[in-house]
Amino acid sequence: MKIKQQVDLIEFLNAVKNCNSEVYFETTQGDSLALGSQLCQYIFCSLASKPELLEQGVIRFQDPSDAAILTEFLE
Amino acid sequence: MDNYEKIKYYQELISCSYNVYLWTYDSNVTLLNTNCPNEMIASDMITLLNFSSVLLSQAQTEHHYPIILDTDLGLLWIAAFEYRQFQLHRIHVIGPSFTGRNSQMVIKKKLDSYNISVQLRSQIFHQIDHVPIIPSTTLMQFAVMLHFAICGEKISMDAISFSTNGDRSSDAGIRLISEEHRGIWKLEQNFLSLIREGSPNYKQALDKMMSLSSGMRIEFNDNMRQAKNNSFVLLTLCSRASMEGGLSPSVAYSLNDYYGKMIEECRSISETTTLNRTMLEDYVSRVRETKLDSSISGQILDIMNYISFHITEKISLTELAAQAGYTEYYLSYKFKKEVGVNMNDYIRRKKIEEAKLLLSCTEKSIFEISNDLSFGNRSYFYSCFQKEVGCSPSEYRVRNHMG
Repeated sequence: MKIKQQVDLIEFLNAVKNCNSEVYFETTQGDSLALGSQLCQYIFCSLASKPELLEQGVIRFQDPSDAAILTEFLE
Repeated sequence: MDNYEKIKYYQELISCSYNVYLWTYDSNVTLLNTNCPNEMIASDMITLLNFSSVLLSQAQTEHHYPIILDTDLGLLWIAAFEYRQFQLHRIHVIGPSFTGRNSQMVIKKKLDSYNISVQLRSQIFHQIDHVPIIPSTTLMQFAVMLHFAICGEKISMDAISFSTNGDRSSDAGIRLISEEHRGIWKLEQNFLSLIREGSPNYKQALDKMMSLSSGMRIEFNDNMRQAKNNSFVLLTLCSRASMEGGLSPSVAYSLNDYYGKMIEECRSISETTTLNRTMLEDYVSRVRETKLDSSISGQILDIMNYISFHITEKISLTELAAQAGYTEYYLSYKFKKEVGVNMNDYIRRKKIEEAKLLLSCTEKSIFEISNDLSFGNRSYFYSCFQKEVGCSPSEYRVRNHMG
């Protein structure tokens, strides 16, 4: 699943905190960011300056049922 | 100028030297505005990093002084509070910054461990390089100024507190293990006193000390870090003792910086061990040279070292004169001339110093201590101690015992 364009990344990450298991953001370069980690959150937010990286990346769920929590942010 | 304009102007003044941004929040910690461009850093790291409750709790304190928000990533922000009619009106945040180049390196090292792609890495490194490095004292001065810009009140730096975002495990409390450390204090004092004297015998004292303790009892899960930390402790103790021994502070502090850098650059335990030896020898030989340059001759320094090492024995002038190869009369005259005190008074003073150490660090009875230091009888020990220290041995023990 991909993230919608123009999403507020902070709101998105705050919603990720409500997920039961780890949520990953994976780039086309093979990077996999565990969004529960403070460092990965920082990296993820810094992608705001490279919207193409955000648009091309996908969100992967360790527990697929967590997708329901983030539906408003995902395409 | 209204408050917001004053704060904005203040932030622009800081920006002349450090590229920091301003965030303004309402009383519910909802972001109202920021001049931080989106492409530089996340628009609202404060909310993301769960600082809301920290900010609100600081705002509720009596004086609601500024707080410095610290993170595991090494990024820091200053937050200050604006009240209107006794109600929290705005929270102003300035940042982010690092406090040292080391913080930048730490975050870069963490990134390395993630094995991220070159494209992403260069993107992040670019951002990290734009975060200014502001020394912690300067950051605290900025916090004081921000508070003044908001409230018109001048406060001191000690009013500024620090806070993390509270994700770390709770403080388990300090476990007192004084029983397990018994004896180390005394050996450490001996070791430091030999450094102060510039005596080459410090090596034996260090060996004894290390046989009892191998440094701080904290498990870092990183042997190299532990070895470096212990080297830093040794360096600090050694540089201070050297200054007390007469080494000029400018030389001692320069050596401290030099060896501090060398310690950090060590890559193996054997390197830190070798460096520890070099560093101690360097300090001690410099202290010795300083003493040699002074009015105390080598022969008298040798006598002083001899006294230190035979402090538990009954030391006679005859014995010392034989040691120095002088007549008793000439040795007494030379000692008094160079050291400034009568030799018997010097020996007595050294014995009392040792007695103070034994009283505060051991369970030995006063009678035993008096015997161990060859005072002859207890009343003589009492009167010497009273004269030198100004109280009786038992009073001294009550005040200073570490048990």
